[in-house]
Amino acid sequence: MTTSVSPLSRLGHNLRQTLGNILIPILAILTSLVVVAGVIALSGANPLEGFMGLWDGAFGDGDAVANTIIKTTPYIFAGLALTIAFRGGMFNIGVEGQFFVGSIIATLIGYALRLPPVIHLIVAILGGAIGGGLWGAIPGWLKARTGANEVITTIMTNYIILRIINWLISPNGGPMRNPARPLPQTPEVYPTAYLPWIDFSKINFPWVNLSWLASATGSLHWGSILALIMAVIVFVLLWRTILGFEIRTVGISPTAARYAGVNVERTMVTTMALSGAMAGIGGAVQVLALTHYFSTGFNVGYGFDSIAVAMLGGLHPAGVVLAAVLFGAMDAGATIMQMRTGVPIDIVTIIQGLVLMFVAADLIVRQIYRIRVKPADGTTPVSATVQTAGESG
Amino acid sequence: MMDEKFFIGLLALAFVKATPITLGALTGIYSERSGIINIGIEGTMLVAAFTSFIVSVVSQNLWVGLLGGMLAGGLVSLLLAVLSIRYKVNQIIAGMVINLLAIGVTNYATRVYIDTSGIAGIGVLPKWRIPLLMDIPILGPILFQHQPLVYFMFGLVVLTHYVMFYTPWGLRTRAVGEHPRAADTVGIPVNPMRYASTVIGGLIAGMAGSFLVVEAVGSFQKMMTTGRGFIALAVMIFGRWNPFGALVAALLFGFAEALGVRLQLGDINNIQALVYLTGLGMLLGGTIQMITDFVKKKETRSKIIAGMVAITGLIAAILGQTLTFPPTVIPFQFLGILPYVLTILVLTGMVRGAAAPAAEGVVYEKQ
Amino acid sequence: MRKNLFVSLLVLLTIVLVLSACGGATPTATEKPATDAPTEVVTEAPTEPAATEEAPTEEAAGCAIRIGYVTDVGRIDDDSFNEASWTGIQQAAEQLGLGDDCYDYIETQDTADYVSNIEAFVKEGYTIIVTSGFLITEGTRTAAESNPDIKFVGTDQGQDVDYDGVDDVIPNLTGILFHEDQSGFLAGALAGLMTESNTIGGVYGTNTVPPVVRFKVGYELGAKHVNPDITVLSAYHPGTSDVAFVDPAWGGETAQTMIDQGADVIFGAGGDTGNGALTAACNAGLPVIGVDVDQYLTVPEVQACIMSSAQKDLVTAVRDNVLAAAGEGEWTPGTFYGKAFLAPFHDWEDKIPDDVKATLEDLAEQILAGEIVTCPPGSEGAGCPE
Repeated sequence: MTTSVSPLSRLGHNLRQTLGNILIPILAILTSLVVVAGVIALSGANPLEGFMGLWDGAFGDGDAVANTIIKTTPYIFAGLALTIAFRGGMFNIGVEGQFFVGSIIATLIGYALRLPPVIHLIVAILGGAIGGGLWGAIPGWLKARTGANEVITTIMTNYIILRIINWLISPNGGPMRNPARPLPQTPEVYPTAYLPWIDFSKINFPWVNLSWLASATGSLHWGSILALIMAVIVFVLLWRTILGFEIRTVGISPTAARYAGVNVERTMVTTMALSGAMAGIGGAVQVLALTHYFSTGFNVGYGFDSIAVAMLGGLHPAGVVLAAVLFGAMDAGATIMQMRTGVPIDIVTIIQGLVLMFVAADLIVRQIYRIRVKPADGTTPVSATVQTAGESG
Repeated sequence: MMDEKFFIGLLALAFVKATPITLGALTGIYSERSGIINIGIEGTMLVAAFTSFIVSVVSQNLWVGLLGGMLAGGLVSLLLAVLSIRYKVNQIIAGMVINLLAIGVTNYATRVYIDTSGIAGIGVLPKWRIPLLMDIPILGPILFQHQPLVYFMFGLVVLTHYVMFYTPWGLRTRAVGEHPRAADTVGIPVNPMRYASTVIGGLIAGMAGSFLVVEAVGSFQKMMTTGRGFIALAVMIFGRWNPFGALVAALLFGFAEALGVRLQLGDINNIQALVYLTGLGMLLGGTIQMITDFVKKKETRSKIIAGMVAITGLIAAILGQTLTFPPTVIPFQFLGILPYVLTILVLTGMVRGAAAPAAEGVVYEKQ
Repeated sequence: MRKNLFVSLLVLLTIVLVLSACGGATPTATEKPATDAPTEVVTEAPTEPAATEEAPTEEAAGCAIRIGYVTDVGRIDDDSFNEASWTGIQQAAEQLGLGDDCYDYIETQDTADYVSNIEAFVKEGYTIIVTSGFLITEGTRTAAESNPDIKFVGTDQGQDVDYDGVDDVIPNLTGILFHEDQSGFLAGALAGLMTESNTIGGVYGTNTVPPVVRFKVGYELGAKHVNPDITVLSAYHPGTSDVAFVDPAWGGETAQTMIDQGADVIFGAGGDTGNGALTAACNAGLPVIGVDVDQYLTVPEVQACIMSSAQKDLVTAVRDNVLAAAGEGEWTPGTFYGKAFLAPFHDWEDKIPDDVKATLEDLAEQILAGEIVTCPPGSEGAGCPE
């Protein structure tokens, strides 16, 4: 952008750009739905009914919205974790594992320690963050020390931790298994460590009064609020602090960062630790808010799906939140869609894949709908990531 | 109990387990050497497995099924190439798109069309026992009594190595991946080379996916790749983007996985086996390192370290074979992490090696 | 511009083709054989997606009874317990004369979703809710307590005791359990009697699923009961439960490892992973034993090799309990034990010697009479009575 552009035309330019930024994802979603409608129709089902079910299940009434928000929450945490890592040039495939570490540590603190309310909760969440952070720091440290590619080490650490956790609750000597039950699960955390439901009737301040939502009490937990706070924190961290600047500089070019006096190795470890910690908080929230114990089959897949969420969100916290809502809504809606119309849940995975594709390949969308607006210039974080992902090999 | 039969069984199985992983790694080598990052190997394999099942059932011929699977793999990789090159999509996103779509489409199609029909697979390809060679003691049963795709995998490793490093075509491919601008200047068509290389890789991923159906299982199951495509990615990087490196890495991985299962069967003392085998591994690795050091005339310090590793390994191996260990059952979940731990250990033990192709992931635009 | 449009259309077309490749390959619709032999009720293919064409009747006027089914984590068409329960529900619905839109299922994606899935049915006014799998035991119990007007049936769930160990039967809740160890015992005895190498193998899903552990415990005991010197090789998939049951290649390779060690009968108990073991052993020309349902019918690839299956009759158990919940039959709150037995020999009817069959029948009687313990106390993770 040249400096001689008048403020007014700049405003117009920005407006058009913003419009383009919103328009493209919407058109991408529409296009995906059209393609998927064809797939559903091929199987003999009615696509419109399927989509109605999807919509009803995601936003149809208050409960549906609440369900969507609950399902969105883990995607936000995992997406933010990936945002930090990708911005720092670390291709962290290990969010899945770090998420699990957060869950299991929070569970352990929740049932093994006896602490007063609130403090217990905070300690459990912090424990999850530290656990996830340490587990994430290992691949970062390995890369900084030996140059071991983080893609390999995070894939490996995922398998390792998943199997160790599987053992922790297994009958063949698993130390965290609840012996009082035939089921492979940990003991329940004490209620002092529960992440409570939001009591809307009590939110009644002069500047914000939510008591009219009193009937919604018991449908949303504070973890969702925490996720939004974390999104703000990640934004501030990455764009308003020196550490964030260092992380992003290393992400764009480790060599340049080194010349600029950044301790590249330390920043790599820090990036991975922060990313892992964010994932760990997400895992802790899931346990402390929803199940209150850890069992097999819990939370599977958030780490992997959130790679798509982070990319869809343009590696920006605000974008990540929106992308997470999209994924969460589809997860929530899929249940009702399948229940009412018999359209299999798998269709949602296809939609997610197509949306990701059309958003990323906005050229396709632009061509289909003959949109002339140039793609947003200046900040193209996504290509920067790719470059560093390649460099980091 | 750790006799000849024990090693023959493990090594033969290691080759079988290494086959889809190595093939997947070759896929990565083709596309990444030309500058296209491919994290969609998993999805490509899955679609290929699905297609090879359908085609083999419809044609009632496993070889036709294999062909179908390979073509499907090629098509999926073409999508990756079109997205990455034509539409300049971030290549990691493009790979994720492929993985998501592959899972969604194969699950959906299996559920809607296959599960309701009760169609059955038509078996697997029979073993090819190579005459004469199969009778060589020890080596015969390890190497020459496999199903055909295992041999194909060997062939492709050799072929890929030759093509990549000894032909003009390979040189051009690598040039495109390392320095597209320079390649363009000397008249190498950058993007067509990338298309070709990625699609060839896709055909090989198709073979990897078909392996699961036409050799390993005989039918398609949802999500049956269970992460092998990601392991392939790791193996490719581990092998430093070289075919033989990938094969060795995949074999190491396959051996460790086979060992994990073998130790679970309960007739061998777990601790003893691990001490003994670790010793053997150190002895082998140390000796090889020492020989290379001498050949390459490395500094004395490096030779001494290698020698000490080898000697420690020898002692451990002897101890493992002679001492009596208390009967210990290691939880099978821990035996199951052997391949992953081993990969990390070996990886971090290696010196900083070759990096990824320099222009990997960067869209090339003519100026 | 024209060229660009053409290319983008081409891409779209490719996608549509890839997506619809399945459509072209629609195989001739031979109905999947019903997994339930004893009844002659012909079930519809369980997952016909177009089964419920009409829009859901919000008022549900046409349905006196509405049956909702929440699966365990996994798919409804898993050739195993999720599918068998659904088949049972379909049979019950048919017997009750319910329309297609009076019964539905929700597939659980994550254990964190159990409660919300049950609540979805409660909210939509369902009157009978069936939940599948031991992991949902507690969720079902809680839901039953807070919705006394709805009848709940849970499979693989013990629902007669509270977790503090006190007897506590909820009047609107029945849990269905099976003695997998009993049919596993008979499978082991069959393997032990048929082996020539005196070595047999068993490939299992993961030990965090108690029914799988019970199958294993029973299989090993049964083999040793008839053949004390036998070597029984066992291996669990080391992965978490989301991969442990869907890795047929691993199952096949593990079966091969056991065959290398001399095993000549293979038992597979672990979803697709177990089926992979059966297929691999069958391809090697060895006899195999299946699990859960009569796998002669569900895994056509192994029809020539499968001697029998360690069956648990989920279909009948679910059907009868759903019927009871609808008022047809006796409703038994607490825990209901379904039948577990050996499936028919099918193609092996003539190959299995008469004295083996006689021994098996004899053992079955002894087990039912309680003369043989098939699941001894202390079998870790099996959930056997202490």
